[in-house]
Amino acid sequence: MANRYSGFAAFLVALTLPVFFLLQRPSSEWIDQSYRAFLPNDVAESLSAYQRFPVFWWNFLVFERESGPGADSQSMTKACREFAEENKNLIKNLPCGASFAHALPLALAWVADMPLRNEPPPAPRLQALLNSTLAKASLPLGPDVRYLARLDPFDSLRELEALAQEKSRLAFRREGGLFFDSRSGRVLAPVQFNFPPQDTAKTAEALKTLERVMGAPRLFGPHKSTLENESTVKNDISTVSWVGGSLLALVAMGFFISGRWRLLMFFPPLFLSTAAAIAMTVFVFGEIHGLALAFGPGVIGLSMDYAVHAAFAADRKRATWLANALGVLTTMSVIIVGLLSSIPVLRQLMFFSGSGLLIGFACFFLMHQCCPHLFREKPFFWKLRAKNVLSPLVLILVFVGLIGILTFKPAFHIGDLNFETQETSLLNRWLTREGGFKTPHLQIIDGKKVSALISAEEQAKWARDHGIRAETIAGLLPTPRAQSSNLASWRRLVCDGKSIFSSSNREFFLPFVEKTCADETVIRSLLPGEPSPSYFSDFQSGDQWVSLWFPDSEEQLSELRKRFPDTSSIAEIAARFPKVLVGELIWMAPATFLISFLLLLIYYRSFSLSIASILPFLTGLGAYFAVAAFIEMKVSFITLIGFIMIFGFSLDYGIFTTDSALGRADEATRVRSALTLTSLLTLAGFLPLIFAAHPSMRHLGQALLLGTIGTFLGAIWGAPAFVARYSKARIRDTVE
Amino acid sequence: MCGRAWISLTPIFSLTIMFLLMASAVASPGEPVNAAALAKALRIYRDVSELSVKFKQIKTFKDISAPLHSEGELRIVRPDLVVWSFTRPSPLELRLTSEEIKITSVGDSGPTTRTFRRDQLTSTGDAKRLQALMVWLNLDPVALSKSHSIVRHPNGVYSFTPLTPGTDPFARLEMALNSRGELQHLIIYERSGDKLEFSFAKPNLKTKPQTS
Repeated sequence: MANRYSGFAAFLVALTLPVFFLLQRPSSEWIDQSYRAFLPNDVAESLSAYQRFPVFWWNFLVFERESGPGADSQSMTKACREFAEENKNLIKNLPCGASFAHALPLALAWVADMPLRNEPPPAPRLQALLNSTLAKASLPLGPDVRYLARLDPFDSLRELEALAQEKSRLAFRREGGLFFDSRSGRVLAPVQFNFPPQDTAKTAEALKTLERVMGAPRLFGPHKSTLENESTVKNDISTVSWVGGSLLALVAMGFFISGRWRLLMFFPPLFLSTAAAIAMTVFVFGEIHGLALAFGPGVIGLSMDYAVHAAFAADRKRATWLANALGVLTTMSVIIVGLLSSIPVLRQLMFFSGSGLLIGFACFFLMHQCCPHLFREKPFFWKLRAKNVLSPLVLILVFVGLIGILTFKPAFHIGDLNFETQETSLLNRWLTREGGFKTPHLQIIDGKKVSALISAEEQAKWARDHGIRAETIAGLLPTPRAQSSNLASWRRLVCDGKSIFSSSNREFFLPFVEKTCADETVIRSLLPGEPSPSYFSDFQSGDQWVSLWFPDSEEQLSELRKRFPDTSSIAEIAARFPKVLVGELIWMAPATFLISFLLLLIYYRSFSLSIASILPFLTGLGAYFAVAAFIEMKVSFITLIGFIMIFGFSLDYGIFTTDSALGRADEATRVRSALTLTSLLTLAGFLPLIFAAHPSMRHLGQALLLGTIGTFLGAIWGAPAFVARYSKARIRDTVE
Repeated sequence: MCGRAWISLTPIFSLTIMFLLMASAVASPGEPVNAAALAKALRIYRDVSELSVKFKQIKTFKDISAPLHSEGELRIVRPDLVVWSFTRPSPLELRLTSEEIKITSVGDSGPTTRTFRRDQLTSTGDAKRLQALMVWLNLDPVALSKSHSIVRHPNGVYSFTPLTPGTDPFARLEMALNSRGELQHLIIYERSGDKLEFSFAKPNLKTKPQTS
């Protein structure tokens, strides 16, 4: 006996160790709240390109007619300047609040490379440009502007301005960095942050200033979207934790009030095993997603099945634990199949559930082995009348379940992983429809494998030849060979004895002359590790460079795909997602079913008894589809994940009641009592998910909640009656 | 091929002589001038609603020995429009209002305009320079007296020193009026050490309509 106690104590201590180590780290380090975990790695990697390159870090400040610092652009500009000033470490570009001082470094970098970028124009144009610069230099302008003029005799800054204008293509009137939509009265101010959307802490910081300085504009774009999703997941975890915890507390109170206080002793090892499961998941995956964490209370409810089943069993210890073991095996078969999914959050969910279930099972088994008298409890003698015939409700649910599973068409849309407020959704539609906003196709050049400038030049040339608009780094600087040729041409004009400048002008443009003629003038190759000028930054992420394509028609798109098959768009990447998912579900669902059914057949050695065990699953599905028919519930791929989970735990109920139908009457009562309690616990675990704002959590909660109710109905009024009707083994006395 | 700013020897010679004369006048001690006296000196501009005048300009940089020469036309529409147009070395128009600054240059591909709101330019620097110039070009004796210490020197030369030197972009201005009281020459000394020298032709003046 002492060995049993000490063995069990050692087991519990061992469980606390991973939890202890986990708690040494702040939760922000190991709780993942991004939506990247919902996507298969290759899809996530492709979509991440839209987050890695600064050219995609543009958002919009949207002012409604009634809000904002003022309807006129002057007030807006003043507010923009203030916002830019307070957030200069967060903002890369804010055209409505642009200051010369802010733009100067970029302008200097641009004009410094003019002799590399352009060949000298014909003489008359050269003279005209020079005279124009001299005229501007005659104005009483500051030393910065003067220095810029001295470095840029031929006004190459116009090209940079033209590129900036090209980028901002919206079908609204533009004035001073703002876009005005006369129809809706909205004003848009483009803003480019200098950090990626994943850095939500910085986005939140910028939003605080925004509210204070600019009234109540809305931020629209990738940064806001990412923050919104993360906030929603965070809030949902909190909601689910509070609601789930409160419900469990209520159930625990119910135990205590009903005098079944021994059942309360299952909670501490249950919490410990769940915490240990979290720690193990973090250890294996590096982090745990909020969705998996929110699933935690549900796992608690599932683990309790075995403990409560054994607690209410009289003296059928061996048979009870055999049934429990089969329940764990069938549930684990679902989990093991799910571990093979390419969706990271699903793997985490399965690992977390599986490890929690196994540890919980081990805990309760050891507890019952160690001190069976301590953990035995009298059942609730509820008068649940189970009959020998299948109740009409069960028949209907089975029918609806079968029809539903054969006819439903889930929406495999990646958008189901994205939380979007109605406001954001409306803005998105407005900007696309009224503003003509288009997301470009992108193509990535790996600077480690190819010359970025040469590849970009090939792309640009092809784009010009086929009349397709493209933005590539070739528009910023030509190939190294062309740079050398341009520089040589300028040097012949500027550095040799016969100069294009008069003696008086030469002194004014000396900075340009010195820069152009210096031996140290660098030809830029953009090789890996080579520092690149600041005007490349939008298109660069490490050693990778992005090119943007804007095909105007299907024909252009088709030509583009033929020539550059590695181009992709958000829509195309998103379209890969359902293909991956369907490919997985096509084998996962049948594999899960077959493995479990095989285990049942091995256990029962009877086809009818195996079918009886599956009956609660069919009624679980039936309950879901019956409610979905009346209420508009979206069936997404997350719902299918829920169905797979339902299959896992419904088999537990099916096995318990099928076993009990073959046993004594009081055994059936005990099992029904246990199932009622465990169903309540499972409901308490999954109910909070339906209050989640994030669609993924909500869909999962709907499936699990309704599935649990249907499973319970099928377990109580389905399986025993099916056994009585169709099995050779007869229930001796089931009518109460 | 050599690029050249437009240079003509004769105007340079005459301009140089005039500025030397101004310099020698300013070197002599002068007498302080109040608003009333300045108003009397600038009486021909009192009722003017619009003014246009051709000018020649020399800009001398502190750290560059060769000055920049240009010429054009200045047009002032009171109270708050100044159009500063260059014809040489290249067509360029600077249009100043109380709200914005527009710079239009004309190239072979047509005119290119850059518009800057006043608050888009740096708070200390370009906008202040142009705004100060615009205020000065309005030739309002009361406003000028409030913001400058004014001294009258011999030969009709007046020097203006800002009363708040820390904030004004110009260190000093000097103007010379001809016998008819018309602004003939203007020298602006910038705080950066640069200098702008203007020589004006006979102005075309439009007066405000008399109210009965």
